[in-house]
Amino acid sequence: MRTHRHHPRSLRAIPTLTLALACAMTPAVQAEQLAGYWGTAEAEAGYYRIVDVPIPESLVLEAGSFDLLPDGRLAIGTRRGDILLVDGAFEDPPAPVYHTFASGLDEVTGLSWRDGAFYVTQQTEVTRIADLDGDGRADEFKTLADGWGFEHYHEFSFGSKCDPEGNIWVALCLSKSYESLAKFRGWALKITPDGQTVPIASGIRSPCGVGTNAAGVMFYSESQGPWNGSSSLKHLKPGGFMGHPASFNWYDVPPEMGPRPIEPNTNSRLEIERARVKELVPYAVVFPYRKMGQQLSGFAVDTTEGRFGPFAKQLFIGDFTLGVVMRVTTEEVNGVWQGACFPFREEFATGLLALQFTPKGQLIVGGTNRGWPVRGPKPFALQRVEWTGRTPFEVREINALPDGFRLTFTRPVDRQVAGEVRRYLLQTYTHIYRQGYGSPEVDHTTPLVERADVSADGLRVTVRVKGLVRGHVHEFDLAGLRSENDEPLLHDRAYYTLNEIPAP
Amino acid sequence: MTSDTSASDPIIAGGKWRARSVSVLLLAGLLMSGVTAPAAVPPFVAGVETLPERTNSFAGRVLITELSCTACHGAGASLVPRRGPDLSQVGARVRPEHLHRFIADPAGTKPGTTMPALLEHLPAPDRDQAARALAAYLSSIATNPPVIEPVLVEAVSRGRKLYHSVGCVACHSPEKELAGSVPLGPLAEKYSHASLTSFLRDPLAVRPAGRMPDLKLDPHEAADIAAYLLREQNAPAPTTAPQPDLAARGRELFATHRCGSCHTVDGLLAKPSSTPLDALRADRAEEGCLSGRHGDWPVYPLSADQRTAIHSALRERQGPSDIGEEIRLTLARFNCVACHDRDGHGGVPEVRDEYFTTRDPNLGEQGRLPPALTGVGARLQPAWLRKALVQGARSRPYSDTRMPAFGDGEVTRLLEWLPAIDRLPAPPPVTFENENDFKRIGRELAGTDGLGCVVCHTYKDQLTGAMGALDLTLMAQRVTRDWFHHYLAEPQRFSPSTLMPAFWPGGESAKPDVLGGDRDRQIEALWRYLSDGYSTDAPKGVHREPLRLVASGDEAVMLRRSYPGIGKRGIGVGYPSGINLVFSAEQLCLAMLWPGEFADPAGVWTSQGHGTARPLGRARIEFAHAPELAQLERIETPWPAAEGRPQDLHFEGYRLDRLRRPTFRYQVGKTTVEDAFVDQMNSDGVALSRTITFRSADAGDLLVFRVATATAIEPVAANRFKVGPLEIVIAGDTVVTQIKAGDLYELRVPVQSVNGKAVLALEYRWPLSTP
Repeated sequence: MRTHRHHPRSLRAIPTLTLALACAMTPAVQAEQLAGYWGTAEAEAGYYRIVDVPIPESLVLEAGSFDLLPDGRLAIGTRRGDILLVDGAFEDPPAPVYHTFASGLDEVTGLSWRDGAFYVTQQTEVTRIADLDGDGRADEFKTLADGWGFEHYHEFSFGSKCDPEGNIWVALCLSKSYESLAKFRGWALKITPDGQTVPIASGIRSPCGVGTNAAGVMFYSESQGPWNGSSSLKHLKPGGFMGHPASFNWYDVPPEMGPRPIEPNTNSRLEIERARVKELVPYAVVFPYRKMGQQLSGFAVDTTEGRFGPFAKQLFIGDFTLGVVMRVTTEEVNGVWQGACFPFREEFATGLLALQFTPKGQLIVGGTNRGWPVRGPKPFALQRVEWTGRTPFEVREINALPDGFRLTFTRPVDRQVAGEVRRYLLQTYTHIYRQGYGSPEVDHTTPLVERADVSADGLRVTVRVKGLVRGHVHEFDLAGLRSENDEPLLHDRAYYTLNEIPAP
Repeated sequence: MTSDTSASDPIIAGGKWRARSVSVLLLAGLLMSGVTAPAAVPPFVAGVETLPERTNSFAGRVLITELSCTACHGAGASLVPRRGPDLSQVGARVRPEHLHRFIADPAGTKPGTTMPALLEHLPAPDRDQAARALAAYLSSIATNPPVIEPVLVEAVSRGRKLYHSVGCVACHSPEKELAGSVPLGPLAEKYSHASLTSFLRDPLAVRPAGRMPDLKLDPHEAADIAAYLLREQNAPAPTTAPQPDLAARGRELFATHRCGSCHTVDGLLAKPSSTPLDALRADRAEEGCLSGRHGDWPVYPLSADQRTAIHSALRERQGPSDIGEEIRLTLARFNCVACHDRDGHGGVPEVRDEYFTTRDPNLGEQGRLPPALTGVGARLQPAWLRKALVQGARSRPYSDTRMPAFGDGEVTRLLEWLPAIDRLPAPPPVTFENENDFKRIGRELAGTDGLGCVVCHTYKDQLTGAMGALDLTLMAQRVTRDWFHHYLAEPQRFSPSTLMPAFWPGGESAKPDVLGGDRDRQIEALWRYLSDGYSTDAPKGVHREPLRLVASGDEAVMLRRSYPGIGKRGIGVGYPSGINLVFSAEQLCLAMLWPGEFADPAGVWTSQGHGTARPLGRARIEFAHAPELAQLERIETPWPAAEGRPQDLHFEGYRLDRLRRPTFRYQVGKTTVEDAFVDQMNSDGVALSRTITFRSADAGDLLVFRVATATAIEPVAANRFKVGPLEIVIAGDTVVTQIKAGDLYELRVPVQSVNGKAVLALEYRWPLSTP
């Protein structure tokens, strides 16, 4: 098989003012060359195909959120403010029939069905929406929470699905990248089923997706900008500070959040400031800018138990700017969440905002390309990723060890090749933690891979590394590895954020 | 092209065989076999049929790969055999009766097939038995045999239309039989609708060689075309029960007959085991595939021309040819020449021209016919060329005929060859100071105030004018900078039929004031601008479609968005009677009222959504954006100043009635309010009835409702007031107080509850005479 792959040549992230759904400040677009991203689309298609779910010409369907109904229908919340129920979206071929359940809402960026009603996050509130007369259309719209303010148009809200207790977690974008001009801008709030609002965390800049990992722990996706050197997936730790201090002015309002944290220093490092600002939660999985997307968006846990291939329980996260889906593994080490991200699938038709696994083991994705530069050509699209049944040769996951990492593969490696330490090119770096917009990669180191032990089944390699750097992204270049059938990895890069090194 | 033996001089190696003798022998062989003779149509190889000369070594070299000679007779990389379909799932795809018949007599079953007869050495009864065993084996390795189901008549007619437009008839015959077409064979006896549909959806999975390319049919299109192709399918023949013993024997036969030289089963492919092609000696052709005799070898019913051509190629031996020749061979093998012209060869023939159609006749012939491949190696970016060939990437959505995907097999060799041979001189170097400024100029040139590229070309799929030529945002991803410069300078030189005007005739710019009128700098500015692809800002002329959101039928329509003067918590409602309101979920008040159409949501539904929803219609009344309900000491106590979001007000949502008309629900202090708005159409105008129900367990201070604030309020009759064109009627015997507060007049009513409940009914009337 011929595969052509191109990795972005530049290892530096350029701190340009990139506008994406959740990080806009000025209409002056710094246009970028977007052609040729990972360059793996053709090879990926052999394992995961992308199928269009047709949309009638009269329907503008800019998906902002998804959920499944107990009767097997797909529910879609749209940027235009509709909630659509879809029959036949999972059929082969897709034979969707769209039904409008509710309309007129303000950007439905969170949708969750529970106990006979939708719990909907729209821009101004979390709303419980029900169909009381049973005619298939919503007639009761109950405001559960609206305790946040607006001062600037770019104050998007993103909501989770219901957690096991029925709470919706809402992440509120700052007023601008640098300010919190209205109440709770830059905060995450928990909305209980009976409408109580519980402040969870400060420090949010510009979220674009909220949800749990397979362990049920709540995360949100954050984009590159002030106090965020690169985009990341962050753990919404109750009582935590997510990194951007503009939201500190609302500590007086929620007493249960405790005293206002001390201000982080600018032009520092997250690793240094986390020792000073005890509430600061290290960014769990950092996505190096441009190598791994530019604007993270919605994400979903693979709950398909293998029907989507070898990545059960992992997170799949979309990117708005580049229209790609990436893969994430998370683990808790010394009480801190961290993990790795991997390329997965590119060439979606539009900028992605939301993802949803289906009962048939497919991944539904959707979004729009409006407003910000987006690589995908279509103004909006609904697409479905299907596993072809062929297992790609991929790094399935990476786990931190006291003296290195354990790499698990989807198929056996060539054991001789994988036993050679020169096959593992490892570099580390971090980003400047600062008020300025984004950061290049800094403080590069090249740790020494001293040993590579391959398991008997060829599925696991333990690499012993001298020179692990706490707080750094550890970037793996595994282009030298081969499967037992002599294939290269479908994606040969992986990025592990080592916030904590496990104790021996 | 290499020299060849002409048809009029058919002497071949050693002078021993003459074409005439070959024909005689062939005929004799056929007569001797006595089975396939009447039906022995020669194998059809499309790329040879269209050659001006079909007997030379060039034709022979095409035949050698297309008949898969080199699958058994190993040869170098320039003669990679086409091979046959993958058979792992043939039992799920093809009905067993057809398999049996086809294996026993390929050319008789599918005249023109390139599959040779493999069982000709056997006496007829044994041959039939062997074919039956092979068919049983192949059927046994798939779990789900095809099931025949009737096809829908509508699907047949849709499929007919697709079949005759998407590109099938570039190679295959249209419904009206056309000679020189790749045979389809008896599809109705071969496939089920489901199995043909799935084959058409992904032909490369079964035929990785790419000779049947993937037209990228969506599942519905594939099903429709399959329905058309099977339109005459009758009731199914009885399916035979599995015969394990027969299948086991078939499996042996599959191996002994070296079927695996051409066909894969679960990825296994036999290595070439016959005499290598190089060592074949034409003078020993009394036996074997080329002899025309029937024996223990693959029997091809070759035509005399085909035999001559193959002999000619064998005699010349296959040395490394020049790249140009290799390109021509590949274009013939993949039948690219059926659609594309390159250097004057190939292109859509007149008899098939009518099947190449366009959705946009404005674009002329360019909108309809596949582009020429002359110079394509210098025209297309390597990555795009690969996408086009391997994945069937399309850039011409207006053309009904599609570029198919050929897969990543032999066709990819074109990716090395084409750029190596197609060259354009580099355009003159261009200097500029600031790249962003330069790009801005490019954007101006692309817009309607510049050269107006957007008038004909789409921008992110949006039409500006009436024409939808190649998308601007795809340009730099597709074509090379060199070609862009040369083409823009002289479009007609590259595409004689193009409608694109020359913008720099004689080197003179149509925009002499931009960049000093310098052609190369202007072209380069456009190129730099377009290089940003999808992330560019739209050039002038690409405009948003105006949006109108109005009530449809007898139902109201709602839009919760930012409204001017109200902010983010506006809830707009458009009523079918032609009256509209915005309720503020922040101040809990009726904030705006207007007659006519509802709203233009463009400000919130386009771009980032950073604007406001704009009420349509010219007249509107804006009330104070402040709470309507307050607890006061006395009815004339100054109204509490509104500052930001009031603390003791809580919006609780709304219910919609059957016609989607809202009843808002909110809490003001200890009072719960239900606030229903219902439209009415009267003979003299439109009206909105508002029924406000207050409930409070706590009888505290005086509760006052402020009906209106305005610079002028004119009493008309008892409890009837005019506010501008609007008339407000307060029902019942409610005492209305009009007071002046600053420059404004206010109408206030006390909320008088009985047993903790009060109801206030208001009507807002807008006379028809008012615009």
